[in-house]
Amino acid sequence: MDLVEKFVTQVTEKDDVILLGAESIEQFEKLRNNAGSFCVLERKESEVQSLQKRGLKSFLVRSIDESLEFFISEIDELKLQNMFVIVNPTSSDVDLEFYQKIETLLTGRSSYSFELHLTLLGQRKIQDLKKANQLLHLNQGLAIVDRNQFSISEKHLYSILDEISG
Amino acid sequence: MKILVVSLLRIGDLILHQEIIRSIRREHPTGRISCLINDTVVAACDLIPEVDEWIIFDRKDLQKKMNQRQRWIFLPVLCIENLIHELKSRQFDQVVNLTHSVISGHFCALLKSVNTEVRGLCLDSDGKMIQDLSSVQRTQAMSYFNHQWSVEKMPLLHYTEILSLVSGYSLDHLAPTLERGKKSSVISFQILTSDERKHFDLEKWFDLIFFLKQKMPSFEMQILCSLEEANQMEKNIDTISQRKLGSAFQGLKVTACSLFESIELIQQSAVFISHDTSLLHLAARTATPIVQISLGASHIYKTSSISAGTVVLTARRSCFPCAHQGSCHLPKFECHEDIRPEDLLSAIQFQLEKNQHELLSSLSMVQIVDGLWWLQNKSQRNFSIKQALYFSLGGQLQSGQFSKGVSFESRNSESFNATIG
Repeated sequence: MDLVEKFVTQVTEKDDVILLGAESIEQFEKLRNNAGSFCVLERKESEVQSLQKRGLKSFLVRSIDESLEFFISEIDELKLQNMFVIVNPTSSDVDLEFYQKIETLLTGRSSYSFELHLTLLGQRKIQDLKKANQLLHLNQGLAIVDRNQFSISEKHLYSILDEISG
Repeated sequence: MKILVVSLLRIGDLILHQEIIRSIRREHPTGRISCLINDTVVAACDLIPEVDEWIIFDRKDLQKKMNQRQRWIFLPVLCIENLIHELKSRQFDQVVNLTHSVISGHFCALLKSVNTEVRGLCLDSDGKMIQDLSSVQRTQAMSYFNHQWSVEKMPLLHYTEILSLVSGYSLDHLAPTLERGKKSSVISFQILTSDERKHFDLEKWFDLIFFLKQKMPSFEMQILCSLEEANQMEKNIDTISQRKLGSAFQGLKVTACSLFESIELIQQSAVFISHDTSLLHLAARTATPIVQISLGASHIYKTSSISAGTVVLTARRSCFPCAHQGSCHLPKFECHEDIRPEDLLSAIQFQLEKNQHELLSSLSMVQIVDGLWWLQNKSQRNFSIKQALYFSLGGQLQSGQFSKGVSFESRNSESFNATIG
């Protein structure tokens, strides 16, 4: 079982998945069947239209603020309990500022459990967050799944990749 | 016996690691030695005949894969998994980690098994060092390496010595391995470095060459550089010679060469002058007298040339040497002011005229520190190894005795007097 599959099997209908950016949609589209809800936030209008044509729930966001507004409305209106946020970290529009804002936004809402799941390519971003001490309440060294659930050899493997990307 | 040496650093480090690799070969003359290296050091493989097989870790390619948008996101994981699988399939009896980095520590952990002993750094899955319970000395050495050596400004042991202790492979034969070439009238320089903090100013280099031309007109001057550096070097010479010295540079040779070719050129030189670079460590394998310039992060006690009789010119600032990683905290590299072309000229004259190599062959290292000669003979080096291990046991440095015939008296770790007898 590869790590995408491992992650997919962990997601249940109690979980809501929000994919930031459509770049990694190929890998994560499988989640549509497992998750309670699945949607994509995307900055390119053409991408949004294409996703919608394929029957994927997707929203056009033009800025960090718009993305945040989306989160606020989802949290308040849909009462999301367990939210997975998947980012494609090579995407330039997902930056540290966004992480910080979304973290601040969600930290204050104790009734919501929040897990930020970064794809492997997000290791560099994780390093940035670590340096900025922004990973205080998030699970340490996140990859596609919570590292606490990794096997020992997976932990070694991801530590090597952390170093290389950092 | 199948042994894997993990050497995931740069060319200069690999060349220093060769001393340990040689020792492994001496101990296991019929064993098979494989070596895991970064893709960036492949050029140095031909220099190390003791290794039977080179295994390349293509770190750059992996980094590229991790940062390309269109790639399958788990490709890097798969690459590492494949490499580990390949290494495990060779069923090594022993892994000797000479790298002392987080990456190498995790690599070694993945290779460690009931049948594969790991010497050197090995980390658990939380990144903590795994103690080597099979050898008290190696454990003590690792503890010293990890907690003290890396932060000490004046450590007791050279990088190669500490690696020897950590790996359990001794350094009994540090003599030059290559014969001196025929008596030469060429002075060779290696004047470019990849780290600007270590870089002796180009204009000063050319001032030195100008002085040498005046004082020693019978000597030819030769600048050694890599093929990639050759064009830049030619331009530098043109610019500087037009600006200040004109004809003084006529006949100055720029020789672009591979690492392998450079050995012969150094061997045939009357003296070799270099920064702390891979060529410096390569030159230490020859019997050619060396003058080393130690600036910025170049650490005189940790990574100087191991060649007996090397003259090391160093900066005097309190901030010297600076941390290996990072940048200079000052607006300009003030330590570069500490060494003048005239100082280098004196050091070169010393190496050429006194022909001290024979005389100092019993000495481990010679350095000029703050204008003073500082000598350490082999007895003291052996002594300092004992002292380092004593530190690692948590001992306080007081007057005492380590073993029969060796006593010491000291106030602090930076100055001690050893009495051998």
